[in-house]
Formats: sequence, C-alpha cells, structure tokens
Amino acid sequence: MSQATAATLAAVGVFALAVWAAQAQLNPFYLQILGLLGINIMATVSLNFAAGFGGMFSLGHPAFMAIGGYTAAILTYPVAMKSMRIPGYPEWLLQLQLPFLPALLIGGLAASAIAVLVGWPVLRLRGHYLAVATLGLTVIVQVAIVNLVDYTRGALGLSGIPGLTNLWWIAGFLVLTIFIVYRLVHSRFGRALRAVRDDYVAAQMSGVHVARTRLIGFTIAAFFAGIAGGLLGHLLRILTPGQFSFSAVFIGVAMMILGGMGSITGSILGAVIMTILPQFIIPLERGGTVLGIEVPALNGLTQIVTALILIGVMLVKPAGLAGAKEFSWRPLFGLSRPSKRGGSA
Amino acid sequence: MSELSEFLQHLANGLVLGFLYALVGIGLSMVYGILRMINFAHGEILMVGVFLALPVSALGAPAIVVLLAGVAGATVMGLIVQWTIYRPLLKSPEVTLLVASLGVSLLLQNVVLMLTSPQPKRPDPAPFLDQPFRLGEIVLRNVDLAIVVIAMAAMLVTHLFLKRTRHGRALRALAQDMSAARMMGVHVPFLVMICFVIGSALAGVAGVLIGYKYGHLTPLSGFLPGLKGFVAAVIGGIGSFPGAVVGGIILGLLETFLVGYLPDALAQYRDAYVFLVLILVLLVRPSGLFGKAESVKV
Repeated sequence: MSQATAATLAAVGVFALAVWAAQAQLNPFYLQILGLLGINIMATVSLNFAAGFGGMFSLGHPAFMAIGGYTAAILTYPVAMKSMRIPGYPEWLLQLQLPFLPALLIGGLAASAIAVLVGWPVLRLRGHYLAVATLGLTVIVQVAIVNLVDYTRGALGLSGIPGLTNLWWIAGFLVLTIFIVYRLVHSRFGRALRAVRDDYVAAQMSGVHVARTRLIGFTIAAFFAGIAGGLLGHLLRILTPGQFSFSAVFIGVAMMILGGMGSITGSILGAVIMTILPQFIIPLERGGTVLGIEVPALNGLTQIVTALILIGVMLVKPAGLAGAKEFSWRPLFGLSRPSKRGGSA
Repeated sequence: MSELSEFLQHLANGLVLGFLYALVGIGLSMVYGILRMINFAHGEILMVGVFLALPVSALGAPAIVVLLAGVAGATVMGLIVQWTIYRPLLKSPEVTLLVASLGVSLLLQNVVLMLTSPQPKRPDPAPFLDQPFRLGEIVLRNVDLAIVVIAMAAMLVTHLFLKRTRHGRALRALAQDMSAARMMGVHVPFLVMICFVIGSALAGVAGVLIGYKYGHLTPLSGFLPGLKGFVAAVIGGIGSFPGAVVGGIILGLLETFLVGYLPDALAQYRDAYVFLVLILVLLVRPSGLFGKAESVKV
C-alpha cells in the first residue's frame, strides 16, 4: 500500500468518525444543512463530470435530480397514503413500497434513461446549443411536474415522503460518487471523454467513438444527479417543482464554476462555499436586526450574491478556485514522482 | 363560430405572438452571429426595460411615450451590461460568456425583485389599446394591431440600418468573418456595442408591448420570452436577421395552434412544446431555415 493510498483510507476513516459524531451530537437543523451540503457536492461533482470533463455544458441537471427524486419518492411512499395523494398510477404501483436503496437506484436509472432519450438527439449539438436544449429539459420537466397532479401532486409538492435519508446514506453515496467519478476520469473512458472535449476531430482520428462517449458520459452524470435527487427528497421529506427551477440551475452552475470546471476538488470547494454562505445571508433576507444593525427585508439577496459570484469569477478568475487541479497527498509527503494512479486509492 | 373563423382567429393570435418572439429573437440572433454567445440575460434586459417604463406609465403618459421609455430603459441597461461585463470578456472562451450572461440574468431578476413589491404589475391601462378590433369574424384588440405595426416598423428600421448604412455593413461583415472584418478596419468593440444596442432596443419594444398585451409583469417575466426568442432564432437560422423574423412567426403560430387544437389536458404544456420544437429543429436542420451550415459539428 502506497503512502497516498494509506492517507486516503485514513482520511475516509476520519470522515466516517466525523459523520458518526455529527449524527450523534448535532441538532436536526445542522444535520439538515450538512445533508444538503453532501447532496450539493454530489450534484456538483456529477455536473462537473458532464460539463467540466466532458465539455457538455448541461443546464438540465435539476431536471435529472427531479426525475430521480420523484421516482425514488414514489417508490418508498407509504401505500396507505398513495391512493389518496397520487392516485394516477396503476394498481400494482400503488401497492408497491420498496426499501430505500433499490428506490434510490431505480431513481438514478430513471434519470439515466431520460438522459439517453434526450442526449441522443441533443448531444450532437455544439456546446451552447446543448445549454439551451438542456435548459429546455428543465422547463419541460417542471411543466410536467406541475401539470401531472395525479402523479406528483403538482405545485402543492409531494409531501409526506418517509425521512429515510440520514447523514450515513449521504456520506456513503458521496464517497462512492467521488471515488467512481475520480476513477472514471482517470480511466481509458475518461481520457477519451476529455479528448472529445478538447478536440473532437483529433479524438475521432485516434479511434474514439465521439457520439457514444459523450452519451455514456452524460448518462453517468445523470445517474448520480438522480441519486442526489432521491437523497434530497428523503432528506427534506417534500419535493416541489420549485426546487428544480431555473434558480437551481444557476446555483449548480455557480458551485461548479466557483470551484473550477474539470476539478473534483474544486466542485467540493464550490459546493461547500455556496451551501454555507447562504446560511449567513438568509437572516438578512428576512430583515430585522443583524449584529445590532437595522436591516430591511432584502428579498433575493442570496441569488444576488450567487450572481455576483458567478460574474466575478468569470471576470477575475474564469478557471475557478481550483482550476483543473486536484487535491493530492503528494506535495504533503514531498513525493517527487507521481505513483501510477496519482494520489488516491 | 365556424371552423374556418376559429382557424383564422388562431392564425391572427399566432401572428401577433410571433411578432413578439421575432422582436426578442433578432437581438439574440445578432449577438450570437457575431460573438457565438447565447445571451441568457436578453430576456432580463426586456424585463428591466418595461419595469423602467412603468413609472412613466403611472404618470399618465401616452402609450407611445411609455414605449419610448421602455426602449430607452432597455437600451441603457443593455449598454451597461455589455460595457461592464461582456466587453472585458470579448476574447474569452464561449462558455465564459455564457456563464457570465447566466449570472447577469440572475442578478437582474433579483435586483428588480428586491427593489419592487412582489405584486405583479401592469402599465396603466390605455383605453384605446384595449378596445376590440374586428376583422370579419376575427376579434382582436387594438394592442394586437399595435404589436404588428410597431414590430414591423422596428424591423424595417433595423433592416434598413443593416443594409443601407456603413455601420450596418460593418456589422454584417463582422458576422461573416470577424478577423477579416477587423483587417478591413472595422472597429470591433464599437460595433459589438452597436449590436447590443439594437438588440436591447428591440427587446425594450417587445417588453412594453408584452406589458400592454398581457399586463402581468413580474421580475421573471423576461425569462421565458428570452428563451423562446432564442428558439425562434434557431428555427430561422441563428445569425440571420430574416431568419429570426420568420422563426419568431413560425414559433408563435405553432404555439398558438398547438394550444388551440390539442385537448385541454395537453394544451397546458405550451412551454414544453417550444423546446420539443427546438430539439426537433436542431436534429433535422441544425442550421435553421436561413442559416448557413456551420463547418464544425459534432
């Protein structure tokens, strides 16, 4: 076992200990924020996998999260309430109540299936068309959720979802997501994906099947977004179409851009900053006295700060905080030569 | 109401809507043609324009003054955004501009949200514009007629500017080949600015007209018109001026007919259809009706 592998395993151990301590000690409010943080990191890493590593600047990530979230929630929804609240489904589905893990995975697969369906036509488009078409997907999914009242409870939101998500689930899937994405990026497939991003003609000449590579990358990203959506629904115990709106698109992009497109480390950083920062801004939005200063209610302040961060990063440091660099143990240990797989396990 | 007159009614409604989309689409199309940039903030420029025109309307100014105020507001807003944010990024990669425009869009929405009360607003009613206007069995309002006339006038002015003036010719040259145009002495930053001014002014026109027609204005009012304007531009062939006009009208007609003839349960998805149309067009004819095929494609 190399030093770096040992360090990574140790870090995971410390992380698990921290999760255990948090789960035991913190009050529900902070637990929820930590949970949201983990879900945001997952979503951002998966968005970065498509946009940063794959060059597929998708604005449809909230749609995939919504599909995963609603699918998982419908599968774990208590049978007793199902026929009352969401009576549109066929009888067998109304009688079905799955455990959490299969529901989550099916949610992820549902998001992937939509990604294949949408990706097949849309991924042929150049980057910026892709952005608009996937933003269209976000609009379509939102309109569908609002209108399919018998299946989703529409704008009311699907409430009463069992609160199955705890910090362990989130932490587990988070570590798994980061690990899988890291390994994928540094695999033969990941190299092909990045080659397509940088120069698709050259990639094609080197024998990369461009369309297939992009579609697979997009589908994988959608899968993780779907899982993140499932975790979100069972954490908050309610899903509404508003959670997956245009501003969700923005915030996801802001997290990725702030950290740096093409860096998993950056996505983690970006998601942490953009999750924690609003917690300090929200009191200002409500108005009242903050630190002894009278503040009027400032609606939308969080979004304004998000927007200013987006614009500021673009003007000052378009590569984001981490650029395309990753965290590595190597500088810490003073190792001169990278091991074959880099710094992780 | 006979089937024919129902058809004609939808046709008229669709045309009116189409002219609005065309007004929004032209600005997006021109900017994309030159900078290869999707200006996500275009709809918000429209929204800011009409919100700036609202106080003028509250003073009791006639509709035409309100319209001019909206145009002025949108133009100034467009200039500010272009000058402070897009201009420094002129040479950046496309994705940088795209993200910056997303940021501007979010910023403008929420600044307006913060500065105004949450109730939806409308310009002070102009009784003349609300009067019905009959054409055989078709019933419209004067405002619909105004939309068509004003939109056509605005497009004609833009067309003449592009075809008959020095700067217009320079703009077209720029869209064709930026580096060649630069070598021929075209001052690129100045013309990019002109391009934003035209686009923003047309968006301002659309904004005030939307305000008078629908009268339900919120800080989010610009978002969907902006997106649909882009879809219109893509249908017509992005970068092409006549393309944006034709694309806008096609989109308006399509949306109206789909909503008019589909059963109610399906008609609620009107915003979704627009994007299905976009995906279809991009699949079948990515360069649109009037666009030239791009040489680089995946």
